[in-house]
Amino acid sequence: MRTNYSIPAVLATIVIGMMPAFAAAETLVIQTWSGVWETGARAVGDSFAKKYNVEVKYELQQNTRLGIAKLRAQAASPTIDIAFSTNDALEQAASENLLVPVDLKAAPGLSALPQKFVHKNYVEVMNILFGFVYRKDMAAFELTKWEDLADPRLKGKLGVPTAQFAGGRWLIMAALANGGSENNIEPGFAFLKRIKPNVLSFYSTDGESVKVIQSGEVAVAGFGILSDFAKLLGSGSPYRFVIPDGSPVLTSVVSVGMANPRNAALSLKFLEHIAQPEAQAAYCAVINCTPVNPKASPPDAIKDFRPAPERIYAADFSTINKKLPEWDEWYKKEIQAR
Amino acid sequence: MRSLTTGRAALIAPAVALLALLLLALSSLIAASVVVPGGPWYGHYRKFFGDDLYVAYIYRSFRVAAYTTVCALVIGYATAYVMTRVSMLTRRLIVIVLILQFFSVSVTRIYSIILLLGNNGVVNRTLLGIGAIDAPVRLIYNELGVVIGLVNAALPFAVFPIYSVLERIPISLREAAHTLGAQRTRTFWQILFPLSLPGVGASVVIVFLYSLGAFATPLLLGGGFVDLISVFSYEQAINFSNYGFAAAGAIASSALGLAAVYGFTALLERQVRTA
Repeated sequence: MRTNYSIPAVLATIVIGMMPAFAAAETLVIQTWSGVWETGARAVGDSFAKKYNVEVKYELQQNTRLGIAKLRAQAASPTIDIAFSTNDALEQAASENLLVPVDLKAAPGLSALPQKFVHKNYVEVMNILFGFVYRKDMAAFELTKWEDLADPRLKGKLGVPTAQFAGGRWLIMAALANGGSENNIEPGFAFLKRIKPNVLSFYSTDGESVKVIQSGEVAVAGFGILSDFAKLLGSGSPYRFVIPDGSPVLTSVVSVGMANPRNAALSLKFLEHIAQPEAQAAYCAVINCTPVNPKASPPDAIKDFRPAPERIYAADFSTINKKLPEWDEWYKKEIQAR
Repeated sequence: MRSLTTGRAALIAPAVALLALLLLALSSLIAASVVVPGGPWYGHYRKFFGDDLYVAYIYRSFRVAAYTTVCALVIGYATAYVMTRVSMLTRRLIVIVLILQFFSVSVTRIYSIILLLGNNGVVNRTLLGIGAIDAPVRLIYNELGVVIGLVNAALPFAVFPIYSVLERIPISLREAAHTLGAQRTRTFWQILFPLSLPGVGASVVIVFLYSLGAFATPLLLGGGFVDLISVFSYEQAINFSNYGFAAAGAIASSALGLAAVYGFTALLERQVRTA
């Protein structure tokens, strides 16, 4: 008797084909930056997917503020569950009720982090360090301090950010380096006036900061992110990244917030996952950042740049976000004009 | 008969949908610009026109758009004219170059200009190398750089409308003028150019409006010194969440741009009628 195997075979194929769909019924949508930042997010997201047997999808944001604009646009019916952003931007998002509050009782895994990094609406996960970078083959001298940016030998060789770069941190750094702060910005403004004659161009993104110095347009990028330049450093490199001694160190903190109340339980698990040393180390190995979990080590490439914790300045971004439009006007009139 | 009507309706429907979308977007923009929490409806406009910083965006945008239009028109006209006089093969080659230019990624195109005209670019290094200059000449990070970038991007918009008109002008007109003793220059200015005015008009309008709304080129080639109105609107809307103010700037710029285009086309129509 001839047996027909075709029907069972088709059924088996359909069932096997559907198995992953049933097994990974839950989906987490993560919004992150592109490039190396996406690779870092995938390092954490993929291990999360494996651990909890869920599907993780990635959506890219062109920059931090556009990412927040996207959350704002879909506020009525969010599709993004997890937003990678910076602490200042998530502070802004929280003030607009775009984030789901973090339920600490339901997330014991967050106790892995020092509690100053766990906020009501988001969690700070990695520190990104700022400093200036210069080309040894183009700068006429060795730069070691912020005041060196005002040296006349750098006339026409300096690129600096716009006021809005990194949520206004350039202005805050200028103030901190000269004895001021976000509550006393004037010393920073005076410093910016001193360096103005040296400025050739302004950049508005960190990607541009790398390109202007790589192309040799400027000898010095006056304010940049270590993570962007770490891959260019090392022995024999023409680039030198400097976090000047003496003044407080300003950081940007990669932070993670939950944007979709309908998927809050799974999102909270992701927050717990990224707080663990393994996930932190995996992310920072790609990004070249400093984990906030003390049990996780930063990658070798940036170990020399790890500042003492007491030097890291905790800026008040609720104040900065309020004052930035006014400072931006001043900057455009006084600095970003010939 | 019915099928003809249905066919027309099918053709008109997408146009109506597009128009409706445009009007909806425009009306929401206007609405956003006149909603001022705790202030008069014109508050955003008063702030915009009351501060030199913001008015400068308008002046700069119109100035850069005007320079770009003039430069693109001169180069575009010359290119279109050459296209009507060369062999089919050369014409196809020019068309291919323009189309490639049109479809190239704008950021890549802009960075190639930086590598060419920047402080450390090919031009400056060559001039320094042959001793023609002592220090790099600033060709970008100013209005010149932005205009160069915009002309580069807008050239296809300038060439094709003019070319489409020029190629339809019968060659017999030129031959007749020549037979009657007219020099080439006179033939051009008295016959060819007046007849090509509709193409020139279309080029001017397209290039001007394109330049007025440009974003990436002024941002990257202006080096922070030549931000146009689009950069203002982006910064206010995205970085500061100040949609109303961003909308006011965009509406003001668009209204002035449309007025300029309307004035120009009215002038051109009169010129075409008298030509």
